[in-house]
Amino acid sequence: MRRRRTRNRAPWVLLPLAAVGVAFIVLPLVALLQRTPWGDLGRLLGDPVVTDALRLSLVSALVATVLSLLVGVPLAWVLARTDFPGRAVVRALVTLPMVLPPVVGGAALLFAFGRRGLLGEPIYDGTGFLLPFSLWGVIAANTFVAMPFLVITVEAGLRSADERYEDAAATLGASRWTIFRRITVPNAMPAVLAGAVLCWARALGEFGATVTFAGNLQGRTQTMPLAVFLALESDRDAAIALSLVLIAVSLAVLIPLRDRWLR
Amino acid sequence: MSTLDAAIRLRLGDLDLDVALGADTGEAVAILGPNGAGKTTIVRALAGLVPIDGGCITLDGAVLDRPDSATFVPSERRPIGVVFQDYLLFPRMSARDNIAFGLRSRGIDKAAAHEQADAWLDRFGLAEHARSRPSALSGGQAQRVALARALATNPKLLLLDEPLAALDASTRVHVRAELRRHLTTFEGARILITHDPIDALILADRLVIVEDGRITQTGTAADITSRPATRYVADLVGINLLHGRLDGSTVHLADGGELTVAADDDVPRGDVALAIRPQAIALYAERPDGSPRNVWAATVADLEADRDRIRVRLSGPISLTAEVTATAAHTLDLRPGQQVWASIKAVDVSVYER
Repeated sequence: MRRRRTRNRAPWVLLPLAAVGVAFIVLPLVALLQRTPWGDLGRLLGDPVVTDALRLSLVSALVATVLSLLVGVPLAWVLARTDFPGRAVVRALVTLPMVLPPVVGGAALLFAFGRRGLLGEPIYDGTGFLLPFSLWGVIAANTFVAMPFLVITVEAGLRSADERYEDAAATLGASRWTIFRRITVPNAMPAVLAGAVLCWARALGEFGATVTFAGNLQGRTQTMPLAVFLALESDRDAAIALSLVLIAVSLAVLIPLRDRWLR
Repeated sequence: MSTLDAAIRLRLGDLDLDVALGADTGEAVAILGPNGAGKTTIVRALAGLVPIDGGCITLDGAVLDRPDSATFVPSERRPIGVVFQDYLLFPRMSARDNIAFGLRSRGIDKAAAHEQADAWLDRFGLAEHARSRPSALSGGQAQRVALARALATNPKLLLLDEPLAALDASTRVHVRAELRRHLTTFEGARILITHDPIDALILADRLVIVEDGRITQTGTAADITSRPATRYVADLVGINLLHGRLDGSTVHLADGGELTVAADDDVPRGDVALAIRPQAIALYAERPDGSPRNVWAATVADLEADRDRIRVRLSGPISLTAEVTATAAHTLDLRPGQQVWASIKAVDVSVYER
């Protein structure tokens, strides 16, 4: 049945511009597909370089997202719900990794957690644990770069949530922790999930901070983006195959989630 | 002994609140006032959601908030239940979990809390909605869940902030009667916030009128009706109060005449009181077309101009005061002794048991 629509009819100037926007994003992907060596794909994808990189990418992006949730949600709550001197500065600092070139972030991480780093040196001297050039280094780099996406999304969600539900919970005798756990977080869940998806997506594509802080060691720290970059120099077909895998994984996550939680 | 004794001084934005009020055990006090008078802020102060600047709030002898002695008992430790405007049922919890929330917060284990919640659901006729999310409930059902949630923690004081404002006119009458019935089972003190005088008359023993952050009058409905202190109060008490016997959907009025009402099955048949807003009574020069059931010929006994509105006292089978605009009065050419046709919709007659 045809319905007459009156509200969501786009002003006509928007349509060609929107089409240019889509084309700009889709065209490079089409070009990539057009160059794909479909016949060789099976062999290329079975290569340990690819499987190692895929495993490292998925693990590090997932762990980085979990870590970001663990500290990012409380941080977002503090930024949204409390007032303290210097809050504006803290908010700016928290979003800095989004603006900073990731290479700079990676270098800064080295100065903090490297063997001679601010915190890295005492930790290494005490325990022998070294963060850089390990899987944990990859995770640290991913978290550093991706967590701000989660924090700003959740903070916005908390700010737009109706705080009167928390008042209602307080009058029912709920402690602050109970209110946070049973009211605040469930009410902000769409924002938390949206933030987690953005954070994961950013972590999956992370390159600069990872290569600087964790290096490019196949099977240890070489994630998909690093493998692609390396392969572009030596084996173009392998690079394309890797890229396809990255795109497929990203779309597999984004298509079901984008409409529901990233509005 | 007074259960609640509160002197509240509080500045919040444009609001400058300075009121003193109390409520005894078992007493229902309505705080009635126009929007922006500070009514909701009174609720928030009593509930501990906003600290007062000056004064003192005590409940059963325990000081809850007293800036002088730096005493402030936070919300979660006050024995006060609140039914919020819009109810604020937790959207991601079932009706049962909403009611059990306060009990769970007090450390009662899940099974016991659910058992008590189910007892409340039963009592409020909501048993089949135990698993429903608030979005699946009607306005009246949501209100009962909100009331059960507030009462489940066994508070000494129950605050109701505009408990009927979220409902549309047709369900209001029904839910109001129901709320009155459920409230009578609560033994603590009740404070009801409303801007609707009918809510206040039906649900409260005593009225406190708040205008612009100050109390302008207190007393029983009869006290206030006989001596309205301000223009606002005078407007409020124009409401017609009638008595009669309800039989089916017809009320046989004590002073003669009868009215068809939209009373539902919850109002027991028998002695009832009726409240009718003067604005709800329509006047016509000729018998109106169609067949509204409450149409009668009345005589204009008296006219009283009140700015651009005219209060028309009607005699005849039913003595009532109507209110029309000056323009309408002019068009109808109203004057004492004149005969007019009066009509009122059944849903505009609020019926409650006496």
